Amino acid sequence: MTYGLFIALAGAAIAAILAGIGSIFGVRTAAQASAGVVSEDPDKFGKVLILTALPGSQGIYGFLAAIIISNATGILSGSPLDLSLQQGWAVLAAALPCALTCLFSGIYQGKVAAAGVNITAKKPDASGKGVILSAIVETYAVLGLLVTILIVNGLNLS
Amino acid sequence: MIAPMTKVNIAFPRHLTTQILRFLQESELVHIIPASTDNQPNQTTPPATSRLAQIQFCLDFLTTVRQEFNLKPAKPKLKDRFKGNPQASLAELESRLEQLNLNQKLAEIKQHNQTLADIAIKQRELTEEKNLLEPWANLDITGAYLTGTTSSQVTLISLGFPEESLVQKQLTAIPTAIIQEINRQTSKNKKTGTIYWEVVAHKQDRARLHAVLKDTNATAINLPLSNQQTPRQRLAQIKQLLQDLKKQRHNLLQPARQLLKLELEFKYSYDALLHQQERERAQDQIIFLATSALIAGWLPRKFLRSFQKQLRSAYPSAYLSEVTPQPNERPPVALHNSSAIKPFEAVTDLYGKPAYHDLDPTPFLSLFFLISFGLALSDAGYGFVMATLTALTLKFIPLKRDLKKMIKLLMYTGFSTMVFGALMGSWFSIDLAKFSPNPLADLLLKLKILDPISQPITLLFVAFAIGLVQLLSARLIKAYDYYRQGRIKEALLDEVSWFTFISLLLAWIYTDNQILLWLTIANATLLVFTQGRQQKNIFVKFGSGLISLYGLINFMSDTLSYARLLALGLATGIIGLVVNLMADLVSHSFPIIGLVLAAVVLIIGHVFNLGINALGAFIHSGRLQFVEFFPKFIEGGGLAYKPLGRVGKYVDSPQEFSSI
Repeated sequence: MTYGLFIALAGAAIAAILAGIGSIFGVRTAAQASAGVVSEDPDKFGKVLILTALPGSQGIYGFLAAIIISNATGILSGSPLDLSLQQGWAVLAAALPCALTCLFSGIYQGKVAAAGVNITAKKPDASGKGVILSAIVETYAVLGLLVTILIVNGLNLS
Repeated sequence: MIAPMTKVNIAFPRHLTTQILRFLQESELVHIIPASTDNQPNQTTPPATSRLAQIQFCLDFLTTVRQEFNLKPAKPKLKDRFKGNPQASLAELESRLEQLNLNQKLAEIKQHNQTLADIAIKQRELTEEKNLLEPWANLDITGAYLTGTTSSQVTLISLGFPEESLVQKQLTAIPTAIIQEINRQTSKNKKTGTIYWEVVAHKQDRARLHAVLKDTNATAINLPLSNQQTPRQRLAQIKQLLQDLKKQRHNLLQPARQLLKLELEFKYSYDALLHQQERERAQDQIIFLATSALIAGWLPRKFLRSFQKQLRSAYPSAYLSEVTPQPNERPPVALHNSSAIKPFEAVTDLYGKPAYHDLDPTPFLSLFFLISFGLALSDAGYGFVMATLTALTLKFIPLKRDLKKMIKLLMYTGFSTMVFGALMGSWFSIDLAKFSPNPLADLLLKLKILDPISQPITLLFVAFAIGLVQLLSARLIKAYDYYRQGRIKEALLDEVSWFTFISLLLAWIYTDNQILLWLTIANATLLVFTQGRQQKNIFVKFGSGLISLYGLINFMSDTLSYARLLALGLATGIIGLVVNLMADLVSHSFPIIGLVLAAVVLIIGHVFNLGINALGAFIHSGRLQFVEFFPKFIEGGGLAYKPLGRVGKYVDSPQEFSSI
């Protein structure tokens, strides 16, 4: 294993870790709010479940970025490439957009989702609007993932 | 589709109010709204609510009695376990309420409850006294002597083992004190315990005795003994009293059993009162005049004629008329779909009802939801398990309408998962290549066209393709919505133009054809010139049109969101692989029981995997519909259609189980 490969895998790990952490915090915030609503009115559970699951997307994006990097470096297929140091650092840099945008977007989407749960508590018919508000925060995590994918694919590692 | 609603007014003689409301409850059709805007709600508690509290009290008593006397009902047979609540019509509920003489039963139950409570209190008091007296059983003096004589006093003290020598030394230092040991209790570990001493001393040494008690950990005990009884006598008396109380309690058993037989009657009556409570609530929305009354409401146009006929034949003096609604009134929204599409209403209901003027999104989301779910769960074995379990549930267990919709939806998604799992060669994540000569394995391998783990990028593009198709369809659906409303210009300029733009763009990227490039640029120019047409200023028009091309970024981000299907599919496959790996390890580590342990690991692991990933697949497939699909063509926020109808806590209405 070359140092380059090691650093590239560190990139994959960072993407998965930070994005996962973002989702963890986000889903926690939303789920706490949901539990409060369900304690008063269990019938709203389905609606708040959707809102609680929304901040979970960032973890999935981080997972995807890690898979894409693992695939590109050959780890997934079992025949890892010997990357040079520059290539390794390039992959690490490519992983950062996804990692950091998903971290913050996850945390803050959780707060918006919790506010959406508040909408559902007071006006259950308008819960769809809370979903849309929460999804707007996710746009930037998606853009981060897109940058990661584009750069990793553009590196042409094999 | 969204059911067209008619607004109606029902006028009837005032004395028929209860009957008309009962008729409405049984037909479950009319969604009642306040008949006038300035109706004051009734401030006093309606009688039904207080009677409901009374029956709840009776039911609680029956539960307590059952626990106290350990009268568990007979163990239900297996098929009865899923029977759920009994079913009855509204008329039957009301007749049972009348037959049950509630006031008399209530008085009887209150009395029994009080007796039980009193007995419990007395038992507790006597037991406390017994615990206090028991260590002193060997003390053969009566309460009279405990107060002492003219010149001497008796003090009872208790102390722990460690203090024994210290206290003894200090007490013997008092000249007139004599100690007699009454009892010594050692704890189980023989290290600690309590000693009970009787100390007799002259009254003049009272102060010194107090000083000893203050200095050490010995405590003076005050025995609640009457003047004529020794502890032993009182203990015997307590024993007798406790036995009497036990007998009294036992005497309650017979009337309690009789009351338990009436438990079902109480439950029926409770539900009858629930309906009465609903009727009383509905009365708040009725306009009452001197001799007549008016109810305003909505009902689906489909049922208008038949309901009118039924009402006329049941109550000739009542009259139902159609009313034109005010322009700003929101009719309630009910979804009517074919029985194939109906299960998908479970997904739409999670989001909320569409607005009355929207298109019903349910038929459109059906295929996309199935495909997304199948891709996200992507294991044919799990799909098979889901499909069989749900099919069996539907066949053998009676389910209420809403639950039935959900179970049927899960059955559909189970089949979809089987299809996609077969296409990806994933059957409980077993490595089919290892079994290759086997004919079954070969057949299954033939079905496999894509391997998620070795070709993740291809699968990613499949997910994107599904997303693209769904997003482009959303545009077309919105165009259809505009067309339905007669807004052809918006349909063409806002939706179809974007549809063609994106399609041309994708086609050009894929084929790199010059003609397609020119067509795309032409379409983009069209967009730039038309998207800003709402603005006043020509420059703002143009600028706004240019900015509208930003919609491309939104489109791209929506498409990327579909990448989660790959992630979820991969997650299921990989966790399944790990479970199989663990089972393999376990089976090789232990000689004989290894196989049994491996089976346990397999079952627990795959059940866990199925549970977590089915939940994730459902939620994320739903989320894709709600966030990427719905907002493109519906407004949402519709008022749900809730007709005055059956309610029930203990008894169900047979109509709730009708086929969906």
